[in-house]
Amino acid sequence: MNFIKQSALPKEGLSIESLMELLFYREEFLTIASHELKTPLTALKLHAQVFKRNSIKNTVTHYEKKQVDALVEQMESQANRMGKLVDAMIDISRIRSNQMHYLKEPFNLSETVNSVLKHQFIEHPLQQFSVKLKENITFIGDKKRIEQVFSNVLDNAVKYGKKLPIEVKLTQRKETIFFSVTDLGYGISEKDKKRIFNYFQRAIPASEVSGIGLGLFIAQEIVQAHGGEILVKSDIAKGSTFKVVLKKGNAP
Amino acid sequence: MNKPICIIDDDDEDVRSVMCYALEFEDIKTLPLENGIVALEYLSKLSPKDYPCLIVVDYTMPGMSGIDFIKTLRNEFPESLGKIPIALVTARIPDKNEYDLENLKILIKPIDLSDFLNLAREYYPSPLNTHSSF
Repeated sequence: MNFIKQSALPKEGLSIESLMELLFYREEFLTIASHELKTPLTALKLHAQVFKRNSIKNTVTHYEKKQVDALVEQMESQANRMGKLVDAMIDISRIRSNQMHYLKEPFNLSETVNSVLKHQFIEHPLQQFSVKLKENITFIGDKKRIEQVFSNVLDNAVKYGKKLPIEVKLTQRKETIFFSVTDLGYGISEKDKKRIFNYFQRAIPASEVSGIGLGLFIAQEIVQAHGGEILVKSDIAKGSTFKVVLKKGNAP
Repeated sequence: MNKPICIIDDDDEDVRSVMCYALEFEDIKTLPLENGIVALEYLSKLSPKDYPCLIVVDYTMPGMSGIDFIKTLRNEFPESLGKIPIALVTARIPDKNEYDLENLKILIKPIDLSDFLNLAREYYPSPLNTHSSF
């Protein structure tokens, strides 16, 4: 069974003002998107050029295998990063043009969190996680998209967590499910709290975007489409807690 | 003995590490620092003989942007650290007013290795061949 998110965008009767605003956001989106892609592209290009230069300068016919392996590994990882970014941009485009379609099926939310965590452990072997999960919480919604939410929130904590321990909790109180991730990192100012989520809903000049990332915007959209919300609590230089709240009865 | 080239880039560890790798491969000493705040603290504790000969800093960094780092460094240490030449790595061509800072070079992403190495050699000449170019 599918459900389609209700959108605030009417199909007819858009005023010139609204159209201009949409065009502005589209321009901003393209600027931000190209900006975001340039970082992994920079790394990828430099890697390839260093590799090429190594190859030209080398007077011996065989290469230091370890060096080559390391370089190639990093290049692949950069290419994957770019792939993820492109996917995120496609998601955002879909969200804004009301093309996001969500599946509706029952699934074991606890298992989903477990599998996302396993992936994090592999991706970030040196990162400490303390985990408290309630087992066998069932939920009805789009499993892959909810998985994306958990993944994005965790990625964020790892990125801004200053490599300090991250606490992950999955709990349920009556019909409400709470997934919270607490890091001890940089923290978020009041101004940035709004910016993080309202990525394209405010007129933020592209020059002010400091690579904050698209993950949380997408996560919020998905959670809201499932009738839930994401809450943020944070103190500068002390850390942040992101809490995903889902209500079992709310899946439309 | 040449002073190292300092690379400050938090946004992407891979960019920082490949930039250092590229320089080290040319026998150029590097000093990687992970963001503007850490860099300010570290650099402020150095004695002048250990100052880097060039600072390469990324524009987009959480906490403190590259521009803010440059402005802070030059405001707080105008006669010492503030005089170190700086190259700003950015994804877009800057506005004249935004970047009207002296002694500042701009590197546009994605960076070309030859441009990067030529810039490095300006401040860290090769001991054997001072006219080498890439």
